[in-house]
Parts: sequence; C-alpha cells; structure tokens
Amino acid sequence: MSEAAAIPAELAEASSARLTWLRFKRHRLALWAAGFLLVSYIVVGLCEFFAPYDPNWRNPRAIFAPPQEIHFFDHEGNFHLRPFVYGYELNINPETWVREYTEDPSRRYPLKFFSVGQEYEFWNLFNANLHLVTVEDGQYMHLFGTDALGRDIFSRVIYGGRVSMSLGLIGVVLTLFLGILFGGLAGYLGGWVDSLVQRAIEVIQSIPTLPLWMAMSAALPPHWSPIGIYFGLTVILSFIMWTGLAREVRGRFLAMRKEDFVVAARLLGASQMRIIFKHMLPSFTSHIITIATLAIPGMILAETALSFLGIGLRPPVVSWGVLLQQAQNYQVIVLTPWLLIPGLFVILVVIAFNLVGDGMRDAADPYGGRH
Amino acid sequence: MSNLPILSIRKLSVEFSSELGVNPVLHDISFDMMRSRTTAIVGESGSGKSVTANATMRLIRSPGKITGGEIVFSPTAGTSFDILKLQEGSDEIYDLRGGKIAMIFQEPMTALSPVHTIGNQVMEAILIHQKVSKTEAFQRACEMLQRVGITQAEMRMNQYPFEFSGGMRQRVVIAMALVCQPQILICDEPTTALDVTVQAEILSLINELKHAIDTTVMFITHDLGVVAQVADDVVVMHRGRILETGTVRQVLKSPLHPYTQGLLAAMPGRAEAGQRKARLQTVSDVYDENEFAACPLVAIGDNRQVALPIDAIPSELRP
Amino acid sequence: MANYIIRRLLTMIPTLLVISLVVFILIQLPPGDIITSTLESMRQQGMEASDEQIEALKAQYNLDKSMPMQYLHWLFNFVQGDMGYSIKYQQPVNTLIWERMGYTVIIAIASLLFTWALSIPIGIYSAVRQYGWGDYFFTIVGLLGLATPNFLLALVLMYFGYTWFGVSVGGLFSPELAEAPWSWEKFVDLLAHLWIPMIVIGTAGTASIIRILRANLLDELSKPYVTTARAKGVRPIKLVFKYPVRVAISPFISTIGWLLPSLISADAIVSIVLNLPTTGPLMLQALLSQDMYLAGSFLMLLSILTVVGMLLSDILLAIVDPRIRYE
Repeated sequence: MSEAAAIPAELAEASSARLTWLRFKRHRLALWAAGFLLVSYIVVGLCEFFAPYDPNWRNPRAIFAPPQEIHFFDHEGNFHLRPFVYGYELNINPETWVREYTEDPSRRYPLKFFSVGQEYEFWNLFNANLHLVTVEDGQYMHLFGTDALGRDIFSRVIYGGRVSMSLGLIGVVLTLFLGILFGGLAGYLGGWVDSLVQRAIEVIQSIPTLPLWMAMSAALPPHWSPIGIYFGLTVILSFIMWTGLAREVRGRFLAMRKEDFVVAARLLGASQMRIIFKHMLPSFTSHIITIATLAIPGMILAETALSFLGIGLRPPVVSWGVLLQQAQNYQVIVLTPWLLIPGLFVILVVIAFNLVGDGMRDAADPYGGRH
Repeated sequence: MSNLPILSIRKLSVEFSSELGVNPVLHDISFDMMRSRTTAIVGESGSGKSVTANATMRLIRSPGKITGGEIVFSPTAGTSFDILKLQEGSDEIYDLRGGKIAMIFQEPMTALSPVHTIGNQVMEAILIHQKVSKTEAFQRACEMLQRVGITQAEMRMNQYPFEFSGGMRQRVVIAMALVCQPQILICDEPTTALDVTVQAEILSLINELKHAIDTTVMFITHDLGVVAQVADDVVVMHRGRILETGTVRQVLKSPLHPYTQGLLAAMPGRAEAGQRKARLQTVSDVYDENEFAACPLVAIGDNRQVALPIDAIPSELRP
Repeated sequence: MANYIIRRLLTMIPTLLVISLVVFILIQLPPGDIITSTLESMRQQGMEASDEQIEALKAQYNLDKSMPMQYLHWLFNFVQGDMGYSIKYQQPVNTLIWERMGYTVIIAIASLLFTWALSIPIGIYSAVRQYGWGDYFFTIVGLLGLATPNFLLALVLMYFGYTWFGVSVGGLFSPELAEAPWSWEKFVDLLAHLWIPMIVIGTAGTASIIRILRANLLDELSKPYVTTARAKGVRPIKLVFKYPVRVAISPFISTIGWLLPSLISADAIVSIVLNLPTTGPLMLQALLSQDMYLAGSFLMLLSILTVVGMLLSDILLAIVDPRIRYE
C-alpha cells in the first residue's frame, strides 16, 4: 500500500512553509479559530476604543444589574433603524428584599457607533474619547450587566482580556526562550549539562504545579506594583512551563543529530553553526511553534485559577481571573449568572488556541501524516 | 493436477482515494497461479505488486477499495470459490487468512509485536486455526521454530522480538506463516530488508519448506536475481498493469515486452565480459512508458501473456 | 525486575532532596519569619517580649543558626516526621495535615480511576472509528473539558447538584455525619459526595488522555505488526485489544506520572470551591497568612506523593513493556 499518489506539480514544487500553510488552510475549524483569536487580540489591544466604559467606572443606578437586551422594535412595535437598549427600572422585592431590575419602556437609549463617549488615555499615550459603541451622556448601556459596584462587565471583560491574553503571550515567549535555551544546551552539549538539565526538569515536574504556583505567587512581595505582580506572575508561570518545551527540544536535537540529512551535511563539511541554523532548527521550528501555541491556554487557565484564589493578580488590575473571583460560590449562578460571562471568554479563547495548535500540528509535517 | 490453477485472478481492479482524487492502482489484472509452483510478481515500487497480494488476503482497507474482478481460489481440485465474494467479517475470511493463505512481510523488524513473546505470537496462529490445546500448540510452535532453523526453540519461545536479529525474526515470521500449513504462501519482498548472506539463507529456507509442506508460493520482489533463484512462473507488473507473464525461462530468456527487456538490461553483471558498457542502462533507456500504454493483455500460449499490440508480437507467437 | 526497582528507588532520593531544598527556599522567601509574626501577634495582644524571650524563640526555631544549618534541621525533623509548628493554628503541623492528606489521596485515586474508566473506552473508540460522528462528538466534548477552568465546572456542577438532587454538595460529608466516627453510613455518605469532585477533577485529565490514547493507537494501528496479525486471521476486536492497545497502553501508563500532579493540582482548587476537607483549602489559608511551615509541609508531602506515583507508574510500565526492563 505504498503506492505514491500522483502529486500535482504545483504541490511538488511548493516550499515547506507554503505546504504548511496549504495544509493548515484545510482545517476549517483551525482557520476559524485563528481568525477569532486575531479579532480578539485586536479588540483587547485597542480595548479603550472597543470598551464603552472605563473598567473601574461605577454606575450607581445599576448594582448587580442583568445584561440589557439590544432591541430594534420598541414596546409599541415600531421599528428603529438604530438599535437601542432600555434603561433599568429597579424594584425591591418586598418579601425577599432582592433587587430586581426590569426594562423601563419609557427610557429608550439608542446606541451610537463611532461616537464620542467617556474620555480615556489610550495606551497611556494620549487622551481620546472615541468609542466603537456608546450611548448619550446620562444614559447607560450594560450588555453583560454590572457587578456589585455597578461596574460594566462588558468593558471589564474586554480590559480583562488585555491582561489575561497578553500574559499568555508574554509567558509563552519567556517559556520558549527558557525551553529552547536549556533544551538546546542539553541536547547539543550532552554530557553533564544534559544530566543537570534533565534532573532539574524532573524535579520541577514532580512538584504538583498548582500548589507550587500557589506557593511561589504567595511569595511575591505584597508591596509590588500591579505591573510588578503581573510580570512576577508571568515569570512564575514560565518557570514551570519551560520544562515541557525543553524536553521536546532536547529530544529533537538528539534525534536529529542522527538523521541522515544532518549526517550528510556534516560529511559534506558544513560547519556546526550552519548545521544547527540551516538544517536542524528549520526542521523543527514548526513543532516548537505548535507546542508554544498549545502552551498559551495553559498560561491563561493558570492565571485564571490563581487570580480566582486571590493569590494571582489582584484588584485594581482587571483580568479574567480577577473578574471570576466574584463568582466564588454557586449562589452566583442563581442570583447573578452574568458574573460568569468572563468564564465563557476564557473557554472560547482556550478552545481557539487548542484548535489552532492542533491544526498547526497536523500542518507542521508537510509530507507525512495520513490525514 | 499442475495445469489446474490454485488461484486465478481475473480483471482485478483496486483504487485508492485521497484528497487529491481517486487513484487507480490496479487495472484489470489477470493471471493464474499453478499448484505447487512459485509465481514471482516483479515490478518497481508503485507497480501494484503488494496491492495484489493484499487483495488476495482481503487486507485492503480504506482509503483503498477493490472495485472489480474476481479471485478464484481452488483449495482442492473439486472446490473453488471467489475470495472477493466472501462476506467482510465472515468466518470464511478469517479461516482463509493465516489458515489457507499465509503471508510473510518485508520488514521483519516491525512485523512482530514488540510486547508479546515469540511463542505467544506463533502459537496464536495455531490456536486460531486449529482446535488444539495450548500444550499441543506450544509443541507445534517449537517444532516449527526448529524447522526454520532456530536453535534452543523452547527457550526462544519465551523471548521477545527485540532479542532476535533481523534474519532470526524473519525466520520467526516464516514459522508463524507456515505453522498452519497454508496452501498458498505469499511472500511480500521477504528478503529486501536483510543483508545479502542472510537473504540467500532465507530464500533457500522458503524453497525447502515449500517442498516439504507442498505449498504454492506467490513471491513478490523487485529483484530479478531473486526471481531467477526462486520462481517457476513470472508476472511482470508496471503501474498497476500486467505487462507480461510466462515461465521464468520464457520471461528471463526471451522477454517480449520492451519494459521487461529494459528491466533485464538494467541488471548489473548481465552483460558479457567483452561487451561491458561504460554505464549501466536504466529502464527508461530502453522503454518509453507512453509507447504501449494501456495495451490489453494478449494470451499467446499456455499461461503466457503479453501486453502488446498484435503487430508488435513476433509473428510465430501470435495467437 | 528487582534490580530495576532498586535502581529506580535510588534515583528518587536525589530528586526528593532537591525538591526539599526548593521547598525550603520557598518557605524562606516571604519577608519576615516566624519570630516577627509571633511578636506581632503578641504585640496585638498587648504583650511585649523581652530580649531573652526573643532569643529563646529563635533558639526554639533554630533561627539563630545559619541558613544551611536551618535547612538541615528542617530536613532532619521532616524525615523523622516532625514537620514544624503552624503559627496560624497554634498546633503542630502533624496534627493538621494527615487527615487532609488522606482525603487528597482518596480523591486523587478516585479521579484517576474515573479518568481511566472514561478515557480508555472513548480513546479506543475514537481511534477505531476515526473521523466518525462519535469521534467528532468526543473531540468536541474533550475540548470543552480541556478549556473549562476546573473551578467553573465545580460551580456549575454544584448548582445542578443542588437544584436536581437537592443535596448539599459542598464538603465530603453531610453536616450531621462530618464529626461522626466511621461507619457504613458515613462511607455511603462519602461516596454520595465524592462524585462531584471526582467528575470535576477527572474531566480535564480525561480530555488529554483521550487525545493521547487516540493518537498512540492510530500510530500503532498502521504498524506492520498489526497487518501481520490481521494476515494471521486475528479477529478485529482481539486485534485491537491484544496488539495496539497493549502497545499504546505503555505511554498511557506513563501518563500516571504527569496525571497525578495535575490531579493533585486540580484537587487543590476544586476543594477550595467545594469546601472539601483536603489539603487545598488549608494550604491556601496557610499561604495567605504566610504560615510557611504548614504550606511548605503540604508542598513537600504532595511532591512526595507525586514522586511515589511516578515510581509506581514506572514499575507498572516495566511490567507491561519488556523492553524497559532490559535497558
């Protein structure tokens, strides 16, 4: 069954990168997930513009208010080209003393697109007040509801995404650096360096991850600035994550030293540097990128878990984990389920990264595979 | 008896589908295998030799598909049936595989399960096809291992494949295939992965056992030297078609098809000392692939066929 | 085999020693030490410590000695079973820790069994019916399981447990039985509460194990020895179970090695949400109040648990895969 399929000429001559891209494109889901991630990163990158409110702005008229619905038809059944939301009408349930919000048909707040709203400092660079969507001064819109202090969850999810998603990226860059450095050294130098790195990896991997993370992040000095804590946490997460990558890199280096094409290059008199950079690295960069992609969701989940426990990022920093901290018990699901919306975005982003990583893993091997 | 074929393949076609489209790998091939003889199927890689063998065992799996033809198997003079008509998953198929038809594979290093003992794997073949006790099966497996030249068989039964050399493993595979005394033994390039001295040993072992248990052999190879050593009849395949069939003498001494001639010309050491050429010929020096493409097989004698237009066949041989 | 186990046991010792060093450093990392916090609490109660008292305290905790000596003291005591003293709870760590470790082990093992019971059949099914509807379905469910933070799943299950079954799903026992001595009734009560943490903790591992098993099996199914077995006339079910599953199970058993730390990790956070009497909540409290001897002991014991788990998985692996024994 080794009969080679006839390969069209354009495929036979395509470069390895192009073949990878062609194969990746065939994974529809992975492509969609990649698109979703791209859009997400743009949104959180420009979150001042996309979020209607400052994440710490409080709306005193909406405490624990549920998400507003976007309407095109008003209560009389009239169509409005400009979508709108209704203001809240607050009732206190006389028996349970629970706040209950209903729509107030007399207060119709039309949405304004690309329009002036709350002022913000874009990337700490300059002041601006343009928003993708906002409402008139004195009106309000809370598409995902509000929390205990009347803060807009929609805006907080977007700002939280900036922290959580960037932490994943920075953490992975650090992980990659450590992993390739130590894995490469171990695989390339061999001998006692290899044993040392191997033992170190073994030790780190045999301490249960979350307790170790907990202990390390609890050791972060409490007087550090939020930015300091943010980078401290990133370092802590990478400190454990690099081991998996280093193992992989080391294994590849060792296996590749014996590969025919590397031996051939050496016999042809290629220099060490040339062999490493021209022959060995290119043949496993795609694998490394894949592993890195699959490591990002782990970072995001870890941040979420630690912040949820109160030993990761702390308010006033807004991250998805910090947001979920408000959902500490299951009464939340009954009374204010919209506080779990950040969790939905965690799940979506993690799934998207996994899909992209899987697609890349399949695509990384342009000639092989039975798919 | 010998002029009655034990296996008769008629218009067998197989396709493989991939995302690039459907790829036919066997086009209407037909040939006969005579009882107690060795039929060698020769061809380069991708010619469809292995697919033919796998089709005979009904081992072709998705994305491959048998699209037509028949393979008539006559285990005894009176009975015959079409292997391709057997129900998938039926007892007959499992009875056939390893029982009436057995197979030896190319890669002795990977053809054995790494985590089961040799004894376990050889005994399994016996226990599937014969109603015997475990001790009886153990005895027979031991005997078979001795017959294929493995010393201290009883001790070796408890060892794992990684404790055997390549040649030894191939002997185990042969023992496993022959332990149920199949009527047809299919050898799919059994010596390709072995070094030359071991090759010769394995070939003579197969030959010896073939006579000892009176079986018919389908021998797949790309090596014409091996063909000359083992075959009685030869089938030449190229790109999923049969180009020429006949006895080993006919095909090797007086090949009719230009491709066969090309194959022979490309063999090193065939040219006589005086006319030694500066460079070894390749098949394409002699044979233009497009010249007789898709020419149907013409029967020109008893089991002698060639895929050439009538006017390209020497007149004394034309039917 | 005995040789192999002994060799493997010996390599455990340096690993554990280095882990103990890491843990000790972590204990020392937070600013302040047991003396400052003791003095702080004394001051809050309006007491002032004299210099002699401080010296006595320092001597009691070996704080008057150099760091390496302190480490050796800590290690020596730990090996002898004395894990130090918890400031927050004003009790020896020993009395606080063992019952909780026990429940952690029970939950980890239950989750491990749950993970296997679920992932082995699904993994085999997905590989044998690759690209079938079932395969896609399990892939999607697996992705969801992988992506959902444990604590969210715990919250959701708690909610459903509460609305559908009306049980108080927090804790490992019903309130009236929590302090009761062990009885059959209490055991059944434990089982009734165990399923939520078991499912929650097992889910994440299940998803990745299904993926690993499926990939391994697909690799194995295309290997020549499987074709050899088919050519022998082995029937499909036996074919899958006797050969590829057997080979694919080897890397699978080695998953215990990394599954165990992740189960213990998951146990830590899930227990906090579900309010289970395991190591997680107490360790978190210890960390938040910088009660580092208690936290460090937890970390050390959990690491020992993991290392022993890895040892067991290596031994199992050697039993299943003969090649390893001979290396």
